[in-house]
Amino acid sequence: MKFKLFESLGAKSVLFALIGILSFSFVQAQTIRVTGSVTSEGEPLIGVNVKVKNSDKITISDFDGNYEISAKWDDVLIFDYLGYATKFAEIKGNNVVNVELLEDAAQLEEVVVVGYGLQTKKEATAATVRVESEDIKKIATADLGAAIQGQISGVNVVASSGEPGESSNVQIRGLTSIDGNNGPLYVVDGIPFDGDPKISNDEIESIDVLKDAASAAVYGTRGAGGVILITTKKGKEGLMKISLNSYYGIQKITSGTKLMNREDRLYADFASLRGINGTVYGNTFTTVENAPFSLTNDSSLLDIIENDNAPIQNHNINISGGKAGLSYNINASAFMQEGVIIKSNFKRYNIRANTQYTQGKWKVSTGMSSRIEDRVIPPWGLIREGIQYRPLNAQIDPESSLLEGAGTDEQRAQNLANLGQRLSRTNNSENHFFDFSLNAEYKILPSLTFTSRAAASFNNGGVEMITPNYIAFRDDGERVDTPQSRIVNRSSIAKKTTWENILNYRKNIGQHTINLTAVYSAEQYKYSQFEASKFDIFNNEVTVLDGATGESNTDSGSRNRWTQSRDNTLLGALGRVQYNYAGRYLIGASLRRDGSSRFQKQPYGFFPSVSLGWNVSDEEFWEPIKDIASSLKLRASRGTTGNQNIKDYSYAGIITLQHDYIFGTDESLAIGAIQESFPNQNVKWETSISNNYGFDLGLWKNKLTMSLDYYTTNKKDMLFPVDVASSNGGGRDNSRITRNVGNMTNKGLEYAVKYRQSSGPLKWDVSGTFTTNSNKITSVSNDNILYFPGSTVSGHNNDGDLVTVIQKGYEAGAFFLHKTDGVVHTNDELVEYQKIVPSAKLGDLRYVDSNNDGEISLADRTYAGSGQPDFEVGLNLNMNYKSFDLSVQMYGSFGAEILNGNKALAYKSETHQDLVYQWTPDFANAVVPINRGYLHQNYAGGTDYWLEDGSFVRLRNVVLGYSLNKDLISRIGLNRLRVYVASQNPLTFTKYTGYDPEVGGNGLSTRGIDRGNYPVSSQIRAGLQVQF
Amino acid sequence: MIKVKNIVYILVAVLFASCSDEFLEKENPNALSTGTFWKSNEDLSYGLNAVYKAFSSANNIRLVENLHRSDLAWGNGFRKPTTANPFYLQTFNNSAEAIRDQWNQNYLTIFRANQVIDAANKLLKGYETDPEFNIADEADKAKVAKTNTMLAEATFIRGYIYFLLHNNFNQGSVPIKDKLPVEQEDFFTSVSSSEKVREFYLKDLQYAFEKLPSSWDNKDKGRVTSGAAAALIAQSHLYAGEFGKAATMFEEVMKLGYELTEDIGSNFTTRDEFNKESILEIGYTLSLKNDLPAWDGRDVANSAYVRQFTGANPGSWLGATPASWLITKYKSEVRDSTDVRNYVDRDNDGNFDVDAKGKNILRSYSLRTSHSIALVDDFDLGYYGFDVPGQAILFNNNFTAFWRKHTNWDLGFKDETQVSPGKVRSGVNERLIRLAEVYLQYAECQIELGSLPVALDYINRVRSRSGLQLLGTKGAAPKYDGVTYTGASLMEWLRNTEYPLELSAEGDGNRNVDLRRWGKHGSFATANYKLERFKELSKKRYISKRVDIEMPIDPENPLKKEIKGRFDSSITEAADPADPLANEKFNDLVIASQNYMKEEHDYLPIPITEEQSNPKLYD
Repeated sequence: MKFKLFESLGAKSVLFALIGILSFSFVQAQTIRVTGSVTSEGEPLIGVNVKVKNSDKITISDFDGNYEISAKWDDVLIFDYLGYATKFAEIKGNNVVNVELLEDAAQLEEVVVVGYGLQTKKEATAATVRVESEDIKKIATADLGAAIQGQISGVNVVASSGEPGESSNVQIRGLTSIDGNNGPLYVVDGIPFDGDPKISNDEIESIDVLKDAASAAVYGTRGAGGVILITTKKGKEGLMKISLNSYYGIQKITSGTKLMNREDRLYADFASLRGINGTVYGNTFTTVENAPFSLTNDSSLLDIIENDNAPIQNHNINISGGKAGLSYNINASAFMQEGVIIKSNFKRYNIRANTQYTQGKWKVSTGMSSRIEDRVIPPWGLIREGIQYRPLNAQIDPESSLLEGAGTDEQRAQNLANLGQRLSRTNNSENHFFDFSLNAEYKILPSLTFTSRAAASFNNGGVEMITPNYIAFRDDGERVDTPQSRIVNRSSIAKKTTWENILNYRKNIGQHTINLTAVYSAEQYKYSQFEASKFDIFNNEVTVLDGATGESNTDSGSRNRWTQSRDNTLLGALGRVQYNYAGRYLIGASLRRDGSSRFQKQPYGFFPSVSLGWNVSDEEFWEPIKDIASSLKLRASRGTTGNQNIKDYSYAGIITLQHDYIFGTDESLAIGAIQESFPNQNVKWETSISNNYGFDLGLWKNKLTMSLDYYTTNKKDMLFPVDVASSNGGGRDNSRITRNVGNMTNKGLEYAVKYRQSSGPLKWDVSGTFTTNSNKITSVSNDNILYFPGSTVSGHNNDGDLVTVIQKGYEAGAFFLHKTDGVVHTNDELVEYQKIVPSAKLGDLRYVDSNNDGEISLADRTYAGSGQPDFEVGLNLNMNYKSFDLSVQMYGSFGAEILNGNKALAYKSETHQDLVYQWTPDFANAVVPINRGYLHQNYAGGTDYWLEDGSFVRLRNVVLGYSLNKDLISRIGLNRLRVYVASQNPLTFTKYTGYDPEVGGNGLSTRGIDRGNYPVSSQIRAGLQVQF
Repeated sequence: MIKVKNIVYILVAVLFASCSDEFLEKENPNALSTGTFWKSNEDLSYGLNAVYKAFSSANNIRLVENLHRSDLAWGNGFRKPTTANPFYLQTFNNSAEAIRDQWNQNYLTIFRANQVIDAANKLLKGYETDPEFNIADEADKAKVAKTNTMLAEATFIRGYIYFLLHNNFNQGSVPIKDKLPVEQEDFFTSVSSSEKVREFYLKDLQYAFEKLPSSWDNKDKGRVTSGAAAALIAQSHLYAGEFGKAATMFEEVMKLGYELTEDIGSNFTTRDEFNKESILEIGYTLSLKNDLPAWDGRDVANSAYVRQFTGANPGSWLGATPASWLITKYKSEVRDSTDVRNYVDRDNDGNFDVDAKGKNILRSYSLRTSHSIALVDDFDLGYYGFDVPGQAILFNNNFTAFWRKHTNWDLGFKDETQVSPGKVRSGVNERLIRLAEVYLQYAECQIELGSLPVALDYINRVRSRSGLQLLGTKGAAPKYDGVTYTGASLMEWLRNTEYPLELSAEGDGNRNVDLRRWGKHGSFATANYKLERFKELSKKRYISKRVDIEMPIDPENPLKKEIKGRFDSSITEAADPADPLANEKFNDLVIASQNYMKEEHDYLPIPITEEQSNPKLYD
């Protein structure tokens, strides 16, 4: 028997030692042995929890549904199995107790996690959605966001980049704040995290998403982006269960930007020169004429940096079990992903041990988790460089630190050598995370519980950046002067501590159920870093600091707001009342007061909420139609949440050092110190008030369930880093100030429907989600249009042209662009156009003078859509037939616009294939405007020339699995053996011409701008799941 | 039950403990807050140093792009006729990074100056209300004086930057920031009229002129002076066509004891920094801050120009090289044959036209030419450790001359990469205003005022320093050219010979201001001067020639040499533009003269970044 197999290995005792929990022995008296079988519709049920009421005795049923337990003759046995109604059976002295369990159709009885507590789904008034571990595991990813994409209505997930280890942008119910951080709050087993906790998806038991403000309001200041509550796997009392999960797959880039090859380039060079200089062959001086041997080159950097068939794999083991008041769950996993772009790699090793111990009035649980992340970060802007690379350049080898034939022109040779050196640079980061939590619950009275929860997280990071010695020669053999080699080592420590005390009172008085909760919490986050660097590596083989011979440098990161030392604190107090009458009329109200160290003038904010629910189907008048409409609940709520996601110390101006100058004929150093950036002393809380109306309906014994939610959210005093006009003197590096800039509304509709067919050999379910959100700025301070910092289209050095805005009456992050009207083809057209653009020439792109003021200026820009989709649709299908299972997931996004920044960059860099078809006097009907250089208005960033329809439908995931026959595998000691093949992103239907219509960006300001983003790839993989 | 009650009370007390405010108060551990700074003259001096630091940034001026916009330089990169340089082609617009950087730096410098001005005024007010302060006390008196001087220094720098903004941007109409922004509306400032801006900076400069010392001790050289303020006020008047006022102010400058250096070469390299001719100069050094990575803004060396101007390979980026007309003009400068400085002994000449080996031979080129640009066949002034520039670099590929200004050709290194390996740095100070410029501008005023003899005198002072043939008929030829100048002809000479040859690629790029104002002010103004000048220059044609250079090939035996051909490395102007020998690749400004439009290119546009972040800009 498998049980004995593992006992003989001593695994159990090892585990007990590992988790360090004392064993207790129990006195047993006057017992009898009870055996029996558990069945449902004649089939044996495996793994049913069989428990003796009012004792700690527990067992589970085996493969044949049989169990064996010792109990007193008058005990009551409890049979508990997920998805089935719990059954109580009195022993009455019998040695054999056989039971038949009934499937529990009333899924509404399932428990949902809400902030600071649990509720049955029936009692809940909140708009929450739960995703179970099975659904999360279908997608091969290290990222939680990617795993839940398309599964929850109202949750918009966009991959920010395909780079391994990057998190997606998760937006719950549209935009929360227009600050860069739009993400939700993650809470793992009750502990709030600073950003994505990045736990392994294998560790997750379930995810509950709090979408409405009323339920998120209990997290006050950080609830504005919605809350994702993660429950990690807990052990269950019973036999030890071991399961293994593994998959291995490969990834591939499926599209790209069309670039010119050597021949295209030759033609386009002359065509462009004719446009810019009016010169023709014979009086030109191109690369080829200067160095004819460059014709032997036909280089492409993109081909070299793309890493097709990059492997992705994950291996996981989960061990769980428990005995008499003690249970444990241990989960270990290793995830490894090579990037589809060279020099990117991500490895993550997670281990988590959860234990629960119950004794008398005490219930103590601990969680320990550690995680090691190992990341190879690609050189910045690699795709950009790939796009800008000229086919007549010598081919750079990213693995080599030697470049020959860099060109004849010194500056170009230098650029090429710099690029080569940048490609040969390595940037490795390693982070060690440790999370500990202790949760102690004490029942003061049967109805009064006190819980104290303490947690600490540590993140120790190390970064090692090596810029090796790089040797480059020009065509004439001259050595190119390359930047000094350098070693940079950085280490950082982040600490977060949380302490929460919760007092809970729950009492049933007749039909009345009352639940009171009080919470007091304190949190602190600290970060500091240290960096040391040294120049002149003696030999590229030795890359420790002592292996360099040049000048050394140290700093503490204070000059950058992301790396500066910081310490922030948060204090929260919460009171909540939940009341229901007969589970029929539900009412809840809460008030949270939060204090944050980030705000100096008004550190405190108040966040109230109220919610109502009515289980209409419990009313007597409903009885006649209960057979059809088995359940109906109406919900309404209103809540307030806040946002404090701004940089620390924004309220005070600071004096920075290192602005030194020299005076005198002996050149002595004079120390300089000055204020460089602008504080905002008045910065205050952003608040959002949200109303939610919804219903949950179950038809035909909940075979068909649906829920609908409509919400409106009013954001007030949005926090936003504003680009301060450069005339204030912040320069390029200190041009931003965090300010409460205005108000915004989100209105949206979410619809989720699911149909289950669970009888017969073919079991299947299909579910769909529909989400729409409309977002509108209702006021902006001073009624001005605000351009988002950093929202340039191409990312080209000379592109300072911002395109996304906050403007009253439009969605946040709307594109404001110049309308264009094709190429100027004829002299008549030219004469006409020169009236508004006097410097225009034939072949130029014609801008539209939208405000008819006779000139083209910023005021001519008009609204041109945004990266926000009009609506999104998700479709999930699961089928089981005998031993086969199939799951299909589709996701569609409609109505978003994309600015094809890669195209713009390739135009500006004269590498795009379109340039072969540019206007020339000989190709007078061209639709591609003539190249007059990167700065000319023809290829300027802020026009609709780059705008494309970003709608797409994507087959996100297909999984086909086969589970081996139980009888067969039980002979080799296995409980379950499933093999599967899966394909992720195999098909995408879109009109978009760039890499991928799923353009991430940073969530808002660059949302919808496809600018050198790391492409999302398709993959196929095969996996194995084993359970002992 | 009582026990339980107590527990509940304790819990409630713990839960809502209110001693929490301290927990929320966090001081920034990274830096001092502005509230605790600016308390003394010492703090003020740290702030002022940071103002000087901002003032020293080459982005305040962007000399290279300024040259491209003018008639003085060829675009960049490969030699003619291929260029995509938008400044040279006159196709730049408000998206250009260079324009953005210049604007940003100008206002950054102003922001810093405003902080010091604000703090100094507060300190001065503080003295008045301080009961322990006693103006009769020597120490206290010195304290006030020190504060006042620092206030004047910061005021000068603010005035100078507004002078630059007024000269360069948006027809002189830019936002005036004279205080620190605090409230939200302070951050959006509309442009002021050109007159207002001028009024504003003149007030600053006048204040500086009155309060600043005229010179500093050696240890404080590099600080701004009353002389520099006077020179700027004078230039401002000149630029506005107020020639009388300008002349008076130039005379103020000349009273302050400046002198021309004996050797013009004292003004361009690390040699003789802060000399007697220098009026406004930015200090740089290579000897400090060597531990910083390349391109670090904290550096105190100058990294902006050296690689753009140097002609020595490797390390030459060819960012700005002299225009063809300027090269031929430099080459044809007439040396005063009576000046002994113009005679040399030499033994290296390749197969140059003139047999010029031997003793006491007339210099290949004038002293001014030799020190301003490196020509392939300048046998009398070495270049980067070589005897003849033609040995140091490949003058092929239609490259015929490089500016020596801003480079380290005189330090003995073979090229600039050896001056600071792996980084781009130079210790050459930037001379923004020197006395020669004041003399020439004074001469211009005098021509306008009708005093030709005075004008000739000042022009000749500058020429005489470099051993050049003097203008006019005052003395006997060959010392004088014997020409009788009229106002118009002398003005033409000044505009297109004396100014460019003496001052090309120097200072704050005021050639563009000149080309603009000569179409506007004074009795010799011609409409659309810059365009006409571009057109005229674009018609000139040049003949290029190969030069053979003797190259030492064996370091052990310097006498062992071989002849190397430098193709198309020497140019002369073709007398007849239709000359079939004319090499079209040396044409100047052909496309630029077609693209240039006064309204769009006279001034730089305000960058799009300012337009987009300042919605009130044009209100």
